[in-house]
Amino acid sequence: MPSAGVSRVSNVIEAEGLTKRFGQVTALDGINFTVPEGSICGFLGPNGAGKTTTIKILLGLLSQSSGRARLFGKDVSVNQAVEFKRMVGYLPQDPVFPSNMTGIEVLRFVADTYQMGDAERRIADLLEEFGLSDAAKRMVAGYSRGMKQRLGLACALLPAPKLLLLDEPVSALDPEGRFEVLTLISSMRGKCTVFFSTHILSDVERTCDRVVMIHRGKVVAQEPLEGLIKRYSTEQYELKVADGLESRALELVHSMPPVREAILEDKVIRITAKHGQLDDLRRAVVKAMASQDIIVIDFRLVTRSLESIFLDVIAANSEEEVR
Amino acid sequence: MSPSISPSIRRELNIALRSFRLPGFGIALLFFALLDPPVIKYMNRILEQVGGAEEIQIIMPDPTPAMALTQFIGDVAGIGAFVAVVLLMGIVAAEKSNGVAEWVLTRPVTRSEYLSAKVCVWAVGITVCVFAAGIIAWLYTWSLLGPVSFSSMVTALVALSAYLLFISSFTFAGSVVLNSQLAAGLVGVGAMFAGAFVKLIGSRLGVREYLPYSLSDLAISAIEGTIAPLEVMPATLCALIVAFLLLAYAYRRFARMQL
Repeated sequence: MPSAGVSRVSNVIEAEGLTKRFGQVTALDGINFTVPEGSICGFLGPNGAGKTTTIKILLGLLSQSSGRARLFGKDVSVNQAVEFKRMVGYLPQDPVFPSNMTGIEVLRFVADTYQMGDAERRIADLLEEFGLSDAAKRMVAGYSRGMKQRLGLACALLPAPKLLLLDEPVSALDPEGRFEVLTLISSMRGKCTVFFSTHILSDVERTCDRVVMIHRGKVVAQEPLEGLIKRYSTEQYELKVADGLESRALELVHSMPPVREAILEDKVIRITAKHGQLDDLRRAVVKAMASQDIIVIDFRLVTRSLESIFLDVIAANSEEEVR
Repeated sequence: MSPSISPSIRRELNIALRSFRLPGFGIALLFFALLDPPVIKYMNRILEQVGGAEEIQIIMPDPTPAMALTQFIGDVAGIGAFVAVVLLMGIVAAEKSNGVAEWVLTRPVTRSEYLSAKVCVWAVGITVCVFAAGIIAWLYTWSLLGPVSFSSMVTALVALSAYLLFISSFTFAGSVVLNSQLAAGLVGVGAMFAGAFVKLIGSRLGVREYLPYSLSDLAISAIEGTIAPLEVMPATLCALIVAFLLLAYAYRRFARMQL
């Protein structure tokens, strides 16, 4: 890939106070975020949050009303320089291709615009990988939505870009296709930077190492996924013991100093630790059960899904707006 | 030519041919090339047939080669220009609204390359179609009615091509600047209909020979041999300058356009 004279930078994408207004409507309200090089960053938000607008500004299709957007350390603008475009692969939400072209012609056109030279081998591999070999010589106008999305992904990956901007990349795919594409995105880790928008939280959970959450044109959270989940994790364990031993186990747990609350529900003891004493609680439970010969069937930390964290973050943000 | 514009030109040519827009334009002109010479040659007989039935006598002058080619030029300048407007009105506007422009412009293709590819394909396409149909009309006229000077025919075709490019540039600029292909079509049709008014003003001001709208009249005069070939040059140059300015305006607007 051509370096286009762009120096090595740690943040591939930077947005500073990025604002976009369409008449009276503020689509982006001074958002700030960064995407480090080599990361797979999920751009998470409900429909209408401003995800596509942000991506279009990064691609130079829209201009910002104020603020800055930078790619590879350089400001982006409408009518983006070709050197920038060579480093970026883009998949729109609903891929549209030039009419009257076949799938293979679309890929050849993309290869020609990136001046890839002889790209036939790579095109054949991508068609195979995305299950489009049989449809390669058919007009794209006759493709299903899923096929168009797969072709769009093949187009985005064809030039092996340094940055992949994917707008809802699996929205039109069946479960099998989704799994394959998400696996493929995961495999890009370290090879290129991936920034993909979605409102499907499980996709982010499965694929990303970083997340930027946007709601009503504002970034409400941005950090490594692990950190976010940890920050919003509960301080709670679930303990399941052998039948008939629940009451004894509950009594024991109640007597432990790090325990704030313990309740028995459906033969599962839910234990909430005092703040900051999660590790002490774990050690105390393990030790007590072993010493009292209580057979432990299951003992696990209760983790929260990204979905519930997302709802919490949005709720907190909405409360702040009201105040 | 920049190597990065080549894929865009190939794509545009591909679309122009497969969508049948460019061949359709050529066929429309070919239709006049093959229709006008025999119609002029047999006009008296046709009128005899029609008039005979109605017992009306219509006297027409004897057909000449110039009459056939004049008819061809009139048809191309009128109906041919209208066909060009219809074919070009969605050339950019449709791609802006259906997302193809966005898709192309997120590849390493500049906005000026995107427009230039279209301009190249259509400017060359229109000129080639006019010359091909014109030569066929000239040969057919020669075989049916007799010869017309080849240099006169070439002069007429230069003027005719310039006129079509002039009208097409309005439609193209409209399609770039406006978001509706219908509005772009109206710009093109408006440019055609403005001709009579502009020619009237131009006559009063004594600048008619410079007006792009005079090109079809000049083409006819060239066929009739009443003007020298160089006399079409001022209007031809003016037409190309206006087309260039319109395209420059369209490029400038498109460079800053939000897609």
